[in-house]
Amino acid sequence: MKLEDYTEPIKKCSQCNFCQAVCPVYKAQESENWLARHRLNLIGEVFFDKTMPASDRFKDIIGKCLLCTSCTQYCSSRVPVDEIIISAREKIIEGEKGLSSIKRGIMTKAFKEKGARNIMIKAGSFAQKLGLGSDSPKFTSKPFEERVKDIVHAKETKKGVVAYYYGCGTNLMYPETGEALVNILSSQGYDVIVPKDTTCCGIPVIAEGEIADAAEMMRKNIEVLSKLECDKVLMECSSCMMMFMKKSPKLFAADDPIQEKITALNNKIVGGIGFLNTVFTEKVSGKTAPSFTYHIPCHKDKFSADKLDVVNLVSKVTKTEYKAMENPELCCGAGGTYYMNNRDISKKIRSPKIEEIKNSKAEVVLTECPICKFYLKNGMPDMDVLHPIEFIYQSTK
Amino acid sequence: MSSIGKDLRKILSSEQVLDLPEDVSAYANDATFYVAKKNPDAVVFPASTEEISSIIKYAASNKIPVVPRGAGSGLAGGCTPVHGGIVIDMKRINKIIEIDQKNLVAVVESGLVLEKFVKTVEGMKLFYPPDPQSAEVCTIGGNIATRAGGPRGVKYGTTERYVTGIEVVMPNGDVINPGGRFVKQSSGYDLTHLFTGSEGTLGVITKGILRLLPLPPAKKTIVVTCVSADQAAEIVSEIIARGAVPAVLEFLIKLAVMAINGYLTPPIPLTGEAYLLMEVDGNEAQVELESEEIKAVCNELGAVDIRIVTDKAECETYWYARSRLYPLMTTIFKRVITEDITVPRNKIPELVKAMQAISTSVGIGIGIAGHAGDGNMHPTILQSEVSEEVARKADKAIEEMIKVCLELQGTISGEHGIGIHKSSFLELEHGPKQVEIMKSIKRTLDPLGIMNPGKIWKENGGKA
Repeated sequence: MKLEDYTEPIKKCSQCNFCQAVCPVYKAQESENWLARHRLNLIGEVFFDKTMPASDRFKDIIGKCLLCTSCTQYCSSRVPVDEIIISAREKIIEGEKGLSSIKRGIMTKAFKEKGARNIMIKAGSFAQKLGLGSDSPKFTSKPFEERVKDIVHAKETKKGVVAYYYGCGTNLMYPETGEALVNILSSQGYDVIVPKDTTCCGIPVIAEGEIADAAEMMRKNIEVLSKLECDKVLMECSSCMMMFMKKSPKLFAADDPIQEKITALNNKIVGGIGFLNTVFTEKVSGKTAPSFTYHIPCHKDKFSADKLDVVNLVSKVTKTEYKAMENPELCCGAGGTYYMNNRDISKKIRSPKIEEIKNSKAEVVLTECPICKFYLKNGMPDMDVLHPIEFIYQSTK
Repeated sequence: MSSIGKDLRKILSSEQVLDLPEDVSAYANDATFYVAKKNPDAVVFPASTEEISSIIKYAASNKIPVVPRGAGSGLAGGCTPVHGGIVIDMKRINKIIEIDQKNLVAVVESGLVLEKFVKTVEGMKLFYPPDPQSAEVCTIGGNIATRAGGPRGVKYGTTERYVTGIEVVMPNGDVINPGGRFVKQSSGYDLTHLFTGSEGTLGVITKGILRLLPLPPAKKTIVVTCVSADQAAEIVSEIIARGAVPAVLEFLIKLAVMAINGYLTPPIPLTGEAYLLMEVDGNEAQVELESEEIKAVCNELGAVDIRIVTDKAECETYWYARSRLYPLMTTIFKRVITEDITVPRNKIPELVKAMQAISTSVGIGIGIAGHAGDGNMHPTILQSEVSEEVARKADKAIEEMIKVCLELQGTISGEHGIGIHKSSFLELEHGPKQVEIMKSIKRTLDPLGIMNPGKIWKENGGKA
């Protein structure tokens, strides 16, 4: 994922400007300088044609992309906009010193090191440490990995063995999501391996342009997960899943031997929701649950035919009512750590989402992404925002 | 900060003005690569007609060019600043002011996105037919300014047929409101339609009063696989000759079908060289009758396959896929130029043959994927490489296409407008006398020449 790899793809932009229809930052800012088309044109001018300097304003425009991938998913010319932005950010930070690089350094270390993930909690809120204020997530005092055994055995007749890769959001913020998944799986007859020597999927650091660090993290994950003897590898976070399935092959050279392992592993990776949809093939007599609406995280394939698989699953296993939002695929504005640095833009993006949630009249909001979950809850403290697996677990246990 | 930017910040809030080069270059082009880029000095984001009037008064007193802009998704360079100056981004003026069901009209602000408007009226069982294929981004103001249209042109015509009134900020800052909510008007010159299609050269359109129709209760999509482009063209002529009026009648070559197939389940089988994609609409009986008649024509003329789709959601996938065709083409080719020459409908077979001949003689690929039903064929120049030689060939092909189109008594633009892209050909179609009338209208309404200069006709052809 070097900018040079995108010499041809960047030219595929047909300039149609259809990215206006889906870019959340554009919708909040209402001016075309925040659009994918313009960012691609600027990157072309600065780094390929070299007709413009990498000015502060240029860096700002590239920096304010939320990396939600809405435009990339929507683009009929199939320009990998998010990857081009990430590799441009790598160019921008090359040789950059000062506060921003120190911040990045701390962050990378925190996500990279297993131990540091825990140090982060003990030291209090990591984000607050970085001076990012009261809107930062609160971390749990006992992370998921300390709550669960390395292998949780099937409680029913064994149907198979799965591994579960838990993301940082689940581990540090919402361990109950991981516990719910492990409990459902074991009670459905699966041995669940929880490999604790994995690390972060790398998305928080790649977003900053630290591609080499993300690759290092991913390499470790792939090595660990490839060795496991299991039928499937499950993930419940849409962003982790995107990193493994879509970005990991691009983090390494084409002739890197890791590519073979990536291909083999990706054939085994399945989303938690997708997997449970194969476990619960028929409607079961679940408990009555509150009515729900569903927010599709951006890093899921949010324009695909399968985008409402959560609704399908929840409707099968609980007695509840789905109250659709008008545009379930609208971004919530969080974008990982984006909202910490771009508070106004993120809030502007979030407000129509909150309106839609309220208009749906649902009692609970479901979403898979821990950051969406945090940021939506932050914007509507009286509303229950849950991971769908947690919701299912509560109404089936 | 530019001096123009500084002045504009006295008229508007600073949040409504952009003048850094890294920002304003976003407004240097539209959806074309073939129009030279030129940055504006400033971009403004007015929130009201009054603010636009103040901006124009400032521009007039300083003789600064003004370019109104919708979504920047045009295909002719209509909204790009040839001489710098001020680009007015209209998209923040975007309210639906009223939907008047008793009179079947809507009053809207010009920055309103077409798709939002269409969804709103359809939710009320009303219908606004114009359907440029960029509906999710393009604005009503941009549609009015270019007389934009799309596949439904064959039955429903294009935007101008639905404009019954407008609000315009004139080049001196005055605000006028020609037209109204009536279905007919026989008083005085038709100023409403003088501004409709004027591409921002006569003033800034700030509101539109738009005619609505009742939403047809039934529709069907028909996909016809044809042996050849010639056969498809003959089928089109025959359907029209027999009096069947599909709401949409699209012509696609195999390559275009290959491109859109990714969006279709099941994909269209690639057993023919040309394809027709149709929609019939109306009441149930009418839809049934017309689809049977079309089927009969296709069978009589030996079409390979006829697929009739009735499921509403499935029908929509075809039209969504069709609307993606322009950006999809760049996944196959390095560059594409979509033309919109339009001929009388009985000339379609001749046009198709001529395009094939031009492709061979000039030595450049020309794809055809157009609104055959209304004669607007969208021959598309397909470039597998980027070089000066290929660019020259593309220019040559466009020139020849235009010649052929005019020989066939067609028009050089059916729905994109002239902008910069086809300004050198305007006189070929209209002749010097008509062009001089246009220029004299321009001189009368915009004596300082500040409104979107450099558009519609070549500047070296005489200053307006």
